[in-house]
Amino acid sequence: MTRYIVKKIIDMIITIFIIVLIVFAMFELIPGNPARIMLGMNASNAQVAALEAELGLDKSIFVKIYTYFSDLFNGDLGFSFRFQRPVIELITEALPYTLFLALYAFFFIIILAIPLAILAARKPNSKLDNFIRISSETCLAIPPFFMAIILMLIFRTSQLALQGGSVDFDLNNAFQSYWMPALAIALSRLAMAMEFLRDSIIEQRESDYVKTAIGKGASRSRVMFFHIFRNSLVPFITALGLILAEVFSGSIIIEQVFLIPGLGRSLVTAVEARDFQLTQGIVLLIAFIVVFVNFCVDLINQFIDPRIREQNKKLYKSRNTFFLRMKNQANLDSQKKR
Amino acid sequence: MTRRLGHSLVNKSDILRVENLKVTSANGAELVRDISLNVKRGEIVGLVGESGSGKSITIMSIAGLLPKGISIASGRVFFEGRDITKLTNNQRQTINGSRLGVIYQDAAQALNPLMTIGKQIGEVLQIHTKMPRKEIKYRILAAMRAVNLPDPEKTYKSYPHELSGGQRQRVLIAMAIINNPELLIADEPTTALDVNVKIQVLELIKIINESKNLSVLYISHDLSTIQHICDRVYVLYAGIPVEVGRTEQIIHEPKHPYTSLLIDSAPTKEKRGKKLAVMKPRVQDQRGPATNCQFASRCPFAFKKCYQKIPHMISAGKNHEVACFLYNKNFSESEKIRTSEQPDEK
Amino acid sequence: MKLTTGKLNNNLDQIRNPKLKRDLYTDSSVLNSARKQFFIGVILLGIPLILYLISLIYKPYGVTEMNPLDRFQGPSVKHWFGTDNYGRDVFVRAMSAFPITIFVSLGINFIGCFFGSIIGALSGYFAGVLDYIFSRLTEALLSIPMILMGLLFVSSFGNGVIQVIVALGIMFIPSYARIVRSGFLEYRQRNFVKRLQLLGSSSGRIIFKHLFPLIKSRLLSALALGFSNAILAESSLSFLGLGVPTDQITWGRMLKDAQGFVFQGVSAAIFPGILIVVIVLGSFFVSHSFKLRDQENKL
Repeated sequence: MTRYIVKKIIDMIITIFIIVLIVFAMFELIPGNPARIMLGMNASNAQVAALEAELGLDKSIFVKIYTYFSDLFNGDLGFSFRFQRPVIELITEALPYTLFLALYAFFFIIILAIPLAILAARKPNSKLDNFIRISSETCLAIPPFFMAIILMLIFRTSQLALQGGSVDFDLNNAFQSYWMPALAIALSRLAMAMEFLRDSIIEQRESDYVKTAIGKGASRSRVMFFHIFRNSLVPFITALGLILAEVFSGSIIIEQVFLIPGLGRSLVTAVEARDFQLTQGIVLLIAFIVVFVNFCVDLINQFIDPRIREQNKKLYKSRNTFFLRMKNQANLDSQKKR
Repeated sequence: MTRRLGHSLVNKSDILRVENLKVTSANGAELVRDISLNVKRGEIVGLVGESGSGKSITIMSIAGLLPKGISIASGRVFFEGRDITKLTNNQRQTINGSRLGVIYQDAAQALNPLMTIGKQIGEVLQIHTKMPRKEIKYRILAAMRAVNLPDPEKTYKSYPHELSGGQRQRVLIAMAIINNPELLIADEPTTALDVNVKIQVLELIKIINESKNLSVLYISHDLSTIQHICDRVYVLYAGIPVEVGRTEQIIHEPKHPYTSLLIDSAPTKEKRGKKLAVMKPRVQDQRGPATNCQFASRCPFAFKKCYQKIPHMISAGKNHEVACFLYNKNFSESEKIRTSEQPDEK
Repeated sequence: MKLTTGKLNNNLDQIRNPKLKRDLYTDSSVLNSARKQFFIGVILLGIPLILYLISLIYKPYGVTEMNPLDRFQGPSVKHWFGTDNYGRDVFVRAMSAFPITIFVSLGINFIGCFFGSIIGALSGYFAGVLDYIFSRLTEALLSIPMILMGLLFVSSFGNGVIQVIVALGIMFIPSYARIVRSGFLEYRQRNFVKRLQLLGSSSGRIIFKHLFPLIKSRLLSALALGFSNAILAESSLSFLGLGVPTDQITWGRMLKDAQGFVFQGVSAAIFPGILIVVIVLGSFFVSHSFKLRDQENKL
């Protein structure tokens, strides 16, 4: 078990390493002189040279990679030229908004997806089922920003966050003032989670153990929640992990619509001002969160399903070499349903 | 054997009585045409027939587990003297699991893969009683010991995939008997098991039957298993019982041509080296209402009458009944001349 | 009847390329449903296309022609989609964005599908270490939200059509690679592949002649889905003002401009969005019909 977790953590670190490399490569591949782009055309050559030295642009690529990683490891994400402040400070200021928005959206997704999926699964391919599926598909086809506009039109209010004028994140107000942006993100990402859950409820309901439970005299709700729903959780949680990245995408756009001072706003400002270090910092942070959450999803799933636990135990047995493990993993993947 | 027969004579009341049960599917096919049977207290009754004979459907309708689209068209099922065909869901829930236990065919599928064995067995008590947790656990461990599950404390915490096939079947039995039901319905519980495990499970059911005076309705397609544990046997063909009798009678003096062919086609020690009987293959299922003897087209003795009317149950000895015109005294021997082809009906 | 065909199929699967027996065992209800979905999808996709063709001939206003007197008009015979805050005709503007949107989406999917198929085929067919490396790579790319990658790219390379196509195209590689990989992993184990290997077919021949045709429906389904995702991603980037250059009209940008006047002029804020939704929904249906075909193929 511990062995499995350790190896998973190693996998996660490798993934993070690759992400950092990709982001680093972006910076490295910038056409022209990054220092000059950052400072603008009016900067003198001396200024550019000074910044180059400060950024370490004149060093060799390996030195650059090394310093990049060691800085990251020390929690130093660089310095924002646009705001003239350390990136880490800007991020810690903006992060609560985005995180709250994402969690709030997840809250909506969960409380909407579960009842809808159960309702739709009651009679597969019935009118109700088709209605729920087609409307959620339609929601999936609506980009988040358009969803926000539709919600504004429906509720006849535009909840612009900055109208209150508060800059600090205030949890008490947040639930009230951010329901519309969160709902916009949730609605446009709802379909995936809902359909995963619906399909797996339908699949589980046909299983024999459900008959056993009815044979025991279990009530309908007991069969539904203790057996069918519980056993459908694994694909549902996996789906939630998969849409996390999309929820962040949605959040970045929605912040723009409702003028919420979160990571998305900072990011767009940074991109417009070509503030590379701030851009990279935010991208890295969000990617890390996504990787970490999906790692947690893996752990939760094997906590719920003992069969996954067993499988992983076998896969990560100590005497299995790396190659054997890869082969087995591929075989397992091929057996998995699409 | 005699001891148990005597026992059932003392306690004469039927625990289960099925009267003229007819089950149809949504498209009108008759899955069970007309089944009447009864199970006395403390008796093990076998229900034997080939696949498609409606034996599984029969017990599903008794346990209220019929799949969607299949429903009881007519007939009644009395359990402890009460008609249970028209129960509401809530009423049904009070019977299932507490008065009526079911053992399923495929134990690997019948257990919830994500729940521990202990929890699954205990769920029955959780639903039907208000016992404190400690007592429930005590009862679970006792039930596990009763069905000879090895190392109950450890099995309590393990998951279905960690057990062997025989152990899983024992878990199902423990689950079915933990709340001391009156009737146990066993749906081919030994098909997925290998031979010696199969014998153990059969013995276990027999022991529970004797010690708890539990009635058992045992379904199988295999006469040898039926022979092993049943007191009485119903032979089903195409949704209709064709012969009823005590196990010895059925095995040693089968009356109905189908039963005798079934017995002759099974390989046994005595028949070593001899040719086994081969039944004609079944022609396409007739799913509408029956108009004649369903077995006639495969029957080596079928005569004209067999293609025209439905034979009814007639006595063929003590406790022995058969639905076949061959034993009908109203027909003369000359009438019983075999006709291989179905006569034109005009 | 059904049961027997099922059993036969299993046996056949073992020795023959399942594609060959397709006509023998087609489930008409699934096929009908697939056909119906394809039909609905094509109709949905056809609506914007027809509108675009009309707009080529029927040009009552210039793209940037302002009409201060006709601000915030609703849809009418004069202005089919109404007008925006400068009194510009929304229909004409929206239609001028049609070709660039389609071009960008196709470009993105071409890059994604081409490289994704190669990577997926290699890692699925050969499995092992190569698969591990590609898996980590795809996982890494999938962990970066698509919009973020787009923004990162734009921040480094500036905004422009090519930049958007390349940035989003890279982000589309992993999803294609995943689909091809899982298809290859699935069929790689089948006996007909082993038989071909024994007969001495080269890996390239097996991959291109046998395995790719098998996952054709799946790939087409992914392409249709990718097309809709590309439109969504591109419009999101333009909405942020960071996609294609600012002088180019796109639906995302039109929505951004209209967003401030939602309550005054509804039609300017609605119609470009509806165009996006119709196209995306149409590709969903097409994608789903290919998916059904694939399932029916698989049996």
